[in-house]
Amino acid sequence: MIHAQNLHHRSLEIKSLHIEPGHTAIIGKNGSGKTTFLKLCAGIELPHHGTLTISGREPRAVHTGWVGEVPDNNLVFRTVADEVASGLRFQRTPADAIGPAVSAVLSEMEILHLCSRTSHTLSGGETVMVACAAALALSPELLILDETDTHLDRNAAGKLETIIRRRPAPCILQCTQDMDTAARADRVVYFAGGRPLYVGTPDEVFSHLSETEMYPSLWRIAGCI
Amino acid sequence: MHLKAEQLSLSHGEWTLSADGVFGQGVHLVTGPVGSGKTTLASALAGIFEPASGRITHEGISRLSLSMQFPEYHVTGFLVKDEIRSWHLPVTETLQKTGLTGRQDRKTLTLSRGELKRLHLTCLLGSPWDAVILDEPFAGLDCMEKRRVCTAIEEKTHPITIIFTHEQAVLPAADVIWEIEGNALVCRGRVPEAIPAWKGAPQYLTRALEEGARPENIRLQDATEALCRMHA
Amino acid sequence: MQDARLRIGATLLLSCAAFSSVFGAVLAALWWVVVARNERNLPGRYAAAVIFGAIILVAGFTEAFGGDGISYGFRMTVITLIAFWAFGRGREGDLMNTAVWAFGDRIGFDLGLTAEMAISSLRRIEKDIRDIRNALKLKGSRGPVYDLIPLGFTLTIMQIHRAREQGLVLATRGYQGGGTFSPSFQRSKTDCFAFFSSILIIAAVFVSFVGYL
Repeated sequence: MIHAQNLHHRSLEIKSLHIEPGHTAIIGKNGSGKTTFLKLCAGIELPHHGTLTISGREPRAVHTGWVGEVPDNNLVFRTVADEVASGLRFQRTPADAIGPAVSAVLSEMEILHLCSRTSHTLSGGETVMVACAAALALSPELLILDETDTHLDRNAAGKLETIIRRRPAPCILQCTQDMDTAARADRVVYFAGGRPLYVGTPDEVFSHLSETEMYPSLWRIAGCI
Repeated sequence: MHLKAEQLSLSHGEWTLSADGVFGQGVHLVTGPVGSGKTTLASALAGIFEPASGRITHEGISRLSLSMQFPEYHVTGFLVKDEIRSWHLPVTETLQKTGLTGRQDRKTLTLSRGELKRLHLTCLLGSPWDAVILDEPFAGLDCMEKRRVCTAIEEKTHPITIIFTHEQAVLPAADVIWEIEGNALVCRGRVPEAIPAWKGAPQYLTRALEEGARPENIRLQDATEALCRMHA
Repeated sequence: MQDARLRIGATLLLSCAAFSSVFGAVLAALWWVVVARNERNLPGRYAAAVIFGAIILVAGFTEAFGGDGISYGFRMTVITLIAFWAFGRGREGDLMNTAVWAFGDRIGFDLGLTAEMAISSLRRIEKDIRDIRNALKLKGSRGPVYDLIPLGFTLTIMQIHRAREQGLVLATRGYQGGGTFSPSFQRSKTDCFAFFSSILIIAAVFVSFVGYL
């Protein structure tokens, strides 16, 4: 689905990277190039050199949902309903179809009760859920979550993970610092020094990281039992 | 030396949180779900949020600081070296500890959020406070940096450290566990006795307890050591 | 007043009336006393002291240097009171509704979006200022004047970061200009009376000008 070839952009340097559809966790230290890679995939930045395609198309031609790390910065409008409806309005969806579509996505995210709330009264966790609902309202082909789970507790992060995984979104890129979350993904890409050093299933990637702090805590425990 | 919350009631509109307890010397870990009021309680203990009722008393504490979740708020130095000097710390040594060697002339607010958080925590933890309150100190840090912060906390250079977090993988050794449950702050007790009663314990601790292990503290290494001892 | 169109219209008319003459300001003040009695939304003591203090200061200087400071002070006070009423009654989506109603779903949508985002940012800036001031206090404040420099700098950089990230969010949601929007307005029984009386006030001011000439 995502294919990068001879990509050079700022500190990022990728000779060849292929990511299949499904849930892919992007891991690595701060400053290893994860967010830069995600911005290229979202079409927000254009690579200085090389090519990056998503399903054979330019990233800008692909419907992408983006949820960033700082909860507040993901919300632009004053009410939850306006926030979730925004993408549909930008796409010029007929007015009578917007209300039902907003209700449907809020129900799916189990936050329909927040519909008439104003954004500044939401908690951090609620803000993240609303931002995800706004991203999912457009049924994106690619959903990008950039350390979204940083401001979520275990239950909220688990709930979000369950919801996004049951969506028919073909591709989810989730940048995370929680290795237990990464271990549940279909694939893991480990970035170091601007390069995707290890790519594969969680088993394959974490086998290289077993001596480091970047190893799932539950796997560590399982290894002792 | 202690920080005491007496019949404290905090409110935001219809939401309220009550707290009653003494934070004595040692490392205190306060956990609770997102939106349970951790930041509000941390602010109240630091004296920057006015409680609706009750009071907070500081016994023997003359220097107290709070690390806010977003490090940008604390910045007063235009350049990285100015920021370090604003904490009255040596520039070269602090840069080395932060992993930012050679970047003393960089504009502070152009550092990435992770780098800024590292710089802020290194400066704050490197200063001589009687009590430090850390609100989500691990947010935005990678696993190695989280471990580095834990090591700094475990050195116990500050008599009282209170950590508010929902971190589930990399935690420092703690002395007392607190939880926010049903709009009230509840003390689970001293570690290790408090561990089985800790409802929001990380999954690795819960898993170790299920296996019959008795970890001496709350870190991942404590859980693995307890399991290894059991199976030895 | 619930209908945003009538409220914005009344605010414009009353502000013009109050600014143009003391007579207009007296009529606008009477309007404020009668119509806005339950929705004045006056600011807190500190904010009121700063805002009205600034008006009094300028009025005082104007009076001291030969200008008509008392008239200026009175007119500006009335305009400020009307502004508190107008801003305080604002509901979410009012500006978007009014802009799209007035200018259509292309330019009106863009104008409304910009206004809504600006008001949203103001609310966030309020929180940022509070948090920065608290952080500076904890770090050892050197006084309000010294604190202004880091406060202003941090606030500016944070707004730039926020604007960049929000731009990113808008871009990924497909924003290119304009959008679907059906304006909707609620109207209370007194809305038409309040708006009509503001038309009478501006008409009275106009007539008084004509009479004067």
